[in-house]
Amino acid sequence: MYDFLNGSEKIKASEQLKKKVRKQIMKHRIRTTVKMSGVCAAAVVLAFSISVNASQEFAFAMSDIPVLSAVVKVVTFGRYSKTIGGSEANIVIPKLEGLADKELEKTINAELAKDAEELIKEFEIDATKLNEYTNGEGHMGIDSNYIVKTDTDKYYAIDVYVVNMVGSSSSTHKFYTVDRTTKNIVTLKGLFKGGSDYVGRISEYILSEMKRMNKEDGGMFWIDEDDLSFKQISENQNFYINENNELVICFDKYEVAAGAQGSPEFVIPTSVISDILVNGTL
Amino acid sequence: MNKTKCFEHFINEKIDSIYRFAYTYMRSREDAEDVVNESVVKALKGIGGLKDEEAIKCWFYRIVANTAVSELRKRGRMIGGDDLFDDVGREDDYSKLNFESMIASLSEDTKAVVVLKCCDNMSFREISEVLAINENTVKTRFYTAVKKLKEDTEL
Repeated sequence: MYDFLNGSEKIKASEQLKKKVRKQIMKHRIRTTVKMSGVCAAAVVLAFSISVNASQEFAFAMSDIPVLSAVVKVVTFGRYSKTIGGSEANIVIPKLEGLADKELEKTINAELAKDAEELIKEFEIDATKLNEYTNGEGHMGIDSNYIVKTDTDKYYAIDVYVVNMVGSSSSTHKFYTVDRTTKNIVTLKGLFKGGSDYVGRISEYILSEMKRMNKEDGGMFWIDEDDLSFKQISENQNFYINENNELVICFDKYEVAAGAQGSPEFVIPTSVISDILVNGTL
Repeated sequence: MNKTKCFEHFINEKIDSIYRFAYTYMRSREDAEDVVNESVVKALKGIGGLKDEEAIKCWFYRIVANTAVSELRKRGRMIGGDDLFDDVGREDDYSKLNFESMIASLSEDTKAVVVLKCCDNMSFREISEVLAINENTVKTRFYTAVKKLKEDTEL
């Protein structure tokens, strides 16, 4: 080695810089994903709007509606596991059963299958390219599955998630909340009185929580850094209703905070929104 | 693999080298970090226009070089490209020549060539792409600089 290179090995990127750079890339990724999925916004709204009747009595009363399954549940429809070079994918394809509206059930299940299919296709292309690009040295992983978040008499909620590991990991979620007791369409918007500023109200609460957590609990929410900071939730923000009948607003990893914060969820106290809820409660 | 993922993979692998390259110009940790960060932001903005994923390396190093040079220009610290050595650095004691004194003594364009060649093992063709200069100029600069540096070490 040349003498004039002495000391060059000590010049290394700091952890802080690595973190900063990762954050920029994740932010970029999320923004482009959001942009792309905007095209499918109509389908997403439809997916969130599940009207269902799972009660036996009601099923009887409405017996003129054909094929009404008694139990709303999510089942495993298919599985996909594959290894390409140093990369691995494990994808579970869920299927919702027992919705009152069979057409809607079909639409949702078709969407779940399509999401999985696209994930598989993307994985096969990416992993193959990565393998070539890095001469077999590269690793990536995709893990997709579902969790039942809520299973009460009133609500049934599932979280279909995708964890993407390339270097660091990112994850995205799609929540489906099924109302067991009404046959009304449930969307975030649909929970609130027409014309009410639910976006503002919820955002204000979340922002105050983020500030509190940053101060008290070592939270790492991006709130007053730059133009990428959290400003407000979207009209169709990810959400579900938990077993205490509370609204839970969800963000994907890196959407509003450093990765160490995982996929943040905010339980919105019903008292904060009761006056603008359609029924005053959930 | 999409371009962003390729880019992410590249950054994860090369962050130390990239940082060192930025440091070569800026000679300050803080300034080098700012240059890397700004380059990443620029790269992400322009990544859609990148035609060939294989070209990420040269493309990104070039962004870093441009960002660093324009930052130095802003501060009036840029040294003319044709001068091999920076006069200010001539007073340094070359008998203890190391990386820090080397980058302090060479002009921006020349030390970039030396670092890309010696630390990052880039080919002369790649370096000519990164620095947007003729491949022969790259070679001349490299050999002249190395010869000079070696002589200085032996003084």
